[in-house]
Amino acid sequence: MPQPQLTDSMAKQPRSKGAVRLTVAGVCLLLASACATTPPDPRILDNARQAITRAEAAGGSEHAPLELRLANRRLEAARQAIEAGDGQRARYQSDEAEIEAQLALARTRAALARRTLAEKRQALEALREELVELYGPEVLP
Amino acid sequence: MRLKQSLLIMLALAVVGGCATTSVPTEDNQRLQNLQAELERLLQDTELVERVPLAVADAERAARRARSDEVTGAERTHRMAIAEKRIEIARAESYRVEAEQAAEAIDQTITALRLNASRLEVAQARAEAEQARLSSVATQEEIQRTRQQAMSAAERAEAAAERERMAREEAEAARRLSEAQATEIALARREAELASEAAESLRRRLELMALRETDRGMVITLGDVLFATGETRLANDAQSNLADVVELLQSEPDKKVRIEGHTDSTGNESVNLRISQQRADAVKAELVNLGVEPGRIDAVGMGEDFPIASNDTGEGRSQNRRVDVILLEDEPSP
Repeated sequence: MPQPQLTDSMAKQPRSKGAVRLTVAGVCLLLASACATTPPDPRILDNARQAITRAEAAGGSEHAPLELRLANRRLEAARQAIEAGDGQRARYQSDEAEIEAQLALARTRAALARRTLAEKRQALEALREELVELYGPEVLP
Repeated sequence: MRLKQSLLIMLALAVVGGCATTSVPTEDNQRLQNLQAELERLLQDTELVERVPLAVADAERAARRARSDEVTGAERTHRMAIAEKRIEIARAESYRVEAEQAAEAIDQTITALRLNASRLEVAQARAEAEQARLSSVATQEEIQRTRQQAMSAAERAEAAAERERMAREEAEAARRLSEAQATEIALARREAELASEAAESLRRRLELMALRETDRGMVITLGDVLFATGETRLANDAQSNLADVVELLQSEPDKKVRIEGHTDSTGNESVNLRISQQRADAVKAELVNLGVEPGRIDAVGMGEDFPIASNDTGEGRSQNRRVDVILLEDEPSP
């Protein structure tokens, strides 16, 4: 019966065959992405755009303007890379724009937290003075 | 291993492809070393690692990916950039969490403060209530005392005002009274003066007449000045003397008047009686003439039988020649 044999041979060979196929596909993809003239998928910019939007919504324009500017510059570079058909560069720039936007968000949130902390310190000091005046130092915990 | 081989093949093919960038290993190595140093510093900050363990793990993973021997060139540069940012993000996150934790501690402190304050407030309020309760009696007494003092002060003021008002009224009344009294006194004094003057005048004028009180009444003796000897007509100056008599008589207008004519014992008795009658009539006529009611007067000639002095001497006879005007004491007219 040729069928079991065929099945057997196929069962024995799939890994090497798949690896070869994968390698070929990867080479083709690499070649295509590196030097292809067809533009890459613009959706790779989505994450960076969302990260920038989040950072801006959190107040990044005020608290992390340099980081946001850099993120936007990288996003623009990624967009230009997509237009130029440079998929790899588009991915790099897009990822770096995203991480820069994340840094902007982190620094913005840190600045906001420090501001809140300063306000709370003032409130505490005012309250402490007020209560000490009202009840004496025994009010202090 | 197979994946690694295929990646190597792909990398080799990419390099062969001619589009791959040629890496500068020394530059990358330096940057990798810096990255590793930054990561080490991050990991040494145990507080930071405790605060943001996930961010630190992300940074560690990214650095490991960048260190990977299997990447070179642009990919490695990209991974290093990502790892550097991951480290910075971990630091920023750590700052944020640190601030948030400090803020939370402050919140707890504020809560504790407020709690203490409210406890103290309750204690104070309780103490004040107790104090108020303890002193409420004293306060009530004080209020009562103050009220009484205020009342008595008001009453005293009112009484003083009343006394002052009464004193003023009394003074005013006294002033008016004294004015009135002064007027009355002045009037009375004036009247008294006038009366005194009149009385003095009358008294002086009546000195000329002999006045004596008898049982019959007041007897006014008109001397022989009224008549010349043997004459029955009144002398000229007799009228002024009789005016005084009239005044006296008119002061008692209800009393009857009796006029008695008397002579001395010289001459004929019947002549003397007639003369005495005529002289009495003459006086009566003159008195009527001077305003005395005629009906009041009864004129009688008494002759020589009622001497008042001795007929032996001239002075005695002069005294006996007289006319008595008697203001009769409540004697009904005949």
